[in-house]
Amino acid sequence: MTYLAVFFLVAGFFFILVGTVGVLRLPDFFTRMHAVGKCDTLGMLLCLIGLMIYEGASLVSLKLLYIWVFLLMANPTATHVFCRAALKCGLKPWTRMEGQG
Amino acid sequence: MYYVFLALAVGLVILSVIVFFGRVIPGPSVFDRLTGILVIGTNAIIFLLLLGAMDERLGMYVDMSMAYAAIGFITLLVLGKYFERKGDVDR
Amino acid sequence: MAAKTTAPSTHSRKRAEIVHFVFLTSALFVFWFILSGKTEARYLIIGFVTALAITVAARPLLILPPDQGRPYWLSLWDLPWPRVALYIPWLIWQIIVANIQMAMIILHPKLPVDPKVVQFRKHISHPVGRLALANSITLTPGTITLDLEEDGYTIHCLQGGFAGGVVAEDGEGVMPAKVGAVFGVEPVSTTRQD
Repeated sequence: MTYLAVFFLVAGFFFILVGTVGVLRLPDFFTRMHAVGKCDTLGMLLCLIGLMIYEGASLVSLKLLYIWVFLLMANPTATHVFCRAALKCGLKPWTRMEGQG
Repeated sequence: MYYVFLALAVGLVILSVIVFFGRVIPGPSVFDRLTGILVIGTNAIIFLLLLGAMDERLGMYVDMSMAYAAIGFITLLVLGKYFERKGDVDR
Repeated sequence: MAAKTTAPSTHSRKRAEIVHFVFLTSALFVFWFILSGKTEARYLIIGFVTALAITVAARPLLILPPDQGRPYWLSLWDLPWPRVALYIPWLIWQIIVANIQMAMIILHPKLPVDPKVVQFRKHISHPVGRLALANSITLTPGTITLDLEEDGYTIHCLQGGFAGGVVAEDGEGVMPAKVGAVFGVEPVSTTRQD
């Protein structure tokens, strides 16, 4: 069981690292939001599943499940709020053509 | 062995937070900074939970991370709405 | 679902309000119980009183802007829960696929991104359905929701090819069709492919 928990934790940290690298490498705000909204969310969800397996069935893992569901809804919503605010403020999405010319 | 793994994981999360400060401080627009803060907040939740798992007292740390998740989310929503109305991208 | 499209009557309004009241109070009470973990009568009574007080205090917050001329309550109890339960595993599978694609793009040495902004329209009457569609688009391959105004969605695609998941050339993409089928759409405003 511990090995399964460690597997989920490792997978989660892999995706968190991918999100971090993506935020450093990607060219503009909107593409960075792709890395944040997807990789970071899944990384965290996998980490929480790993901790839930490690903890076993108890009230604590029920609380972890609550955090899981909350983050699954909250993280894309926060991403959307930032994207919408950036769009309203007139931040132009980067495109391949402008980048070369 | 599990403790060594957890300690490594905590180090990894701290590294990720430091790297994200590299996005918060120079970030070209205010929204890059906000994104960095969002990710630092979510990493802090994982950090707290890992500390709790190392400490064998996950029950206490999970309450803290729940409160942190809720408060951080609402704070970021308010900040996003505020900057949307303010319309100043370059600060 | 059907009650929302028929003409409003004070009787159904009253009933919706009572159902809402009972639902929110019991949900908050269960939440209190999960948080405290105590089964003594004193704590349970405190929790019940707190849940009741919060329900009364938060009552005006959950009246949504009028849809078709009348206000209605944020209603979780009339969601099609069996279909939602079937939709969630598919969504989780899509999230995993999306993340593997994202990891391949980010770790690729040349960073093959070619962003593109597309728009489409889709009417979903239930507000939770709209939320689910926007969040699902954000979580699934190569697309994030930039803006959501009434029925119009603005989508940012990481590569041009990913746009096919949300908008097809004739009709609608996989994701709006799927969410629309889950949360129910009014037949007048749908643009089905077949």
